[in-house]
Amino acid sequence: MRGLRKLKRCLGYNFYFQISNYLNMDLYREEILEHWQNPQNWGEISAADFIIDQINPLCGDQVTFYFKIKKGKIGEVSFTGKGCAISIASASILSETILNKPVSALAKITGRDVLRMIGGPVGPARLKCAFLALEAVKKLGGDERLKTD
Amino acid sequence: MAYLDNASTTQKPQVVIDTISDVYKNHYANIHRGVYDLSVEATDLYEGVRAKVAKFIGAKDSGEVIFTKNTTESLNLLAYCQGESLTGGDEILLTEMEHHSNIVPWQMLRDRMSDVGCRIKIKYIPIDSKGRLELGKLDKLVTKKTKIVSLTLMSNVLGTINPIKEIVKRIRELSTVNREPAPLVLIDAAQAVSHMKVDVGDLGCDFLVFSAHKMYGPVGVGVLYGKREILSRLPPFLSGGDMILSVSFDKTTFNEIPWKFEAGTPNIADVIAFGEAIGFLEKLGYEYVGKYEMGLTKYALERFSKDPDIDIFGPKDLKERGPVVSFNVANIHPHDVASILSEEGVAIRSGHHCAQPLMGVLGIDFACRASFGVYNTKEEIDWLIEGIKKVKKVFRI
Repeated sequence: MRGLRKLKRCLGYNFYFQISNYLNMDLYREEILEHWQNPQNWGEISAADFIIDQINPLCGDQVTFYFKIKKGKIGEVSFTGKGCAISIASASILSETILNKPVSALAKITGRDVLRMIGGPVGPARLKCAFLALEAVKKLGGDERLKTD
Repeated sequence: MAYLDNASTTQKPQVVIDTISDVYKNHYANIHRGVYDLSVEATDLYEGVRAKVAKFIGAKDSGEVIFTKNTTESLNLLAYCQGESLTGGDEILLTEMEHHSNIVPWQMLRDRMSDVGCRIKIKYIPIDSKGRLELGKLDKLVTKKTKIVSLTLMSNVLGTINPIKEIVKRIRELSTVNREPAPLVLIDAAQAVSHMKVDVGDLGCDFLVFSAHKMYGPVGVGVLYGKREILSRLPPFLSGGDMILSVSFDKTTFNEIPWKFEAGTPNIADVIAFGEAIGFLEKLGYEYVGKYEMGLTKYALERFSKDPDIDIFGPKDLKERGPVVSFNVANIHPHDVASILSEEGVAIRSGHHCAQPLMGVLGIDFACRASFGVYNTKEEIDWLIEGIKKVKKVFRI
């Protein structure tokens, strides 16, 4: 697995992303398993400024994100949820990425960015799992109440 | 690939696939409409299958067999049509193990009636820790106000086979005690019908519903059986062509059963092919099918029980269950289990199996499910077990 990380760094994430399909990469790679076993920023924030629920009705994966906004930035973020390893890992990794970022940056995060963050592509059947957290986070980015901040 | 998701839908024998093609090529015209030979031929083939289904389930006459789209549509038909006979204070009795299609239409009926000021109650027969119905509670649950009892013959999650004969007998006894007409009994045989002989006379039910696609037949064909005297009294469900006798601008008179409940051009070729699926099962014989599938189930349960990380749901006693085995692997999400198994060439189902209330009763959100059909083998169960070992390895358990 260490060799894999080195490979990704040497090739550059973009190139790795392009070729990873051909390398027949394992879906349950280290990034996914580590974040599934020890999700970062797990829990609720009492007196959160925003609480956003996201459910995938087809499979029942669910995440709830908690945000505290400080001067237009994500001052605090946490999440809870019930779902497959992909959805939990994706939420964990995304929560790390958006901490201290301006709210205005959230709308710019793409699905491709998320796949890069979680270490590569997932099959078409699991895309919704990978993007569940992103949909919750983007809801915050699009929230009218934040546009005046 | 090992296809172990037969509870969801079954693969089709060549004769069923060929029949659909053959009908469209050589015997296809609209039915009940034309006087030309091809239409008469198509009509005879279609109605021939109705008679075949009636014989298959032990119905007294083929007028008691209605073709719908699937079990869900059959249940909706009954909720809408039989539901119209309910009044405020009436009760419907279901069970905790029902599929959404045998819960949601009744809830919607309750809500529709509530909108016009009529309150009906829905009650549920609970299940015990082994996944069997707590029949001891029947005496309290069936009251003077119970008008409809609707339950599954075989659970699509637990595999539990409910003792319908015993239940119907008890319900009839209770209504004698209550001095009320017995509630109507509706049986959901969708899961059971490919695994065991279903005879409506033997079960003693008033209605029976099932789908062709779960018994090696095509999708788009469902069956609703109902006793003639009950169906004749019901108002129609969908309306339009074929279900009428006469139409004027002011009003319409309706056709007699079964056609009263078959509006519009039906699924002609698929109904005819469904007849071949029935033939396929009858040729194998339920004795063979039951013995073979339960042999697979016994083997699967034995191998599962050797792994302390696998939780099995439903009765362990083979006499009380069918070839549907729901399970979980440690704390791994069923979707992850199913994903890895898919990579190993094994298809199982994962999720809530359209039984979210049951999931809640079992204390879980989701489960994996392996379900067997006549074409599965012991070797495929070995692949399943090996696949589960791989799942545990990936998740470091």
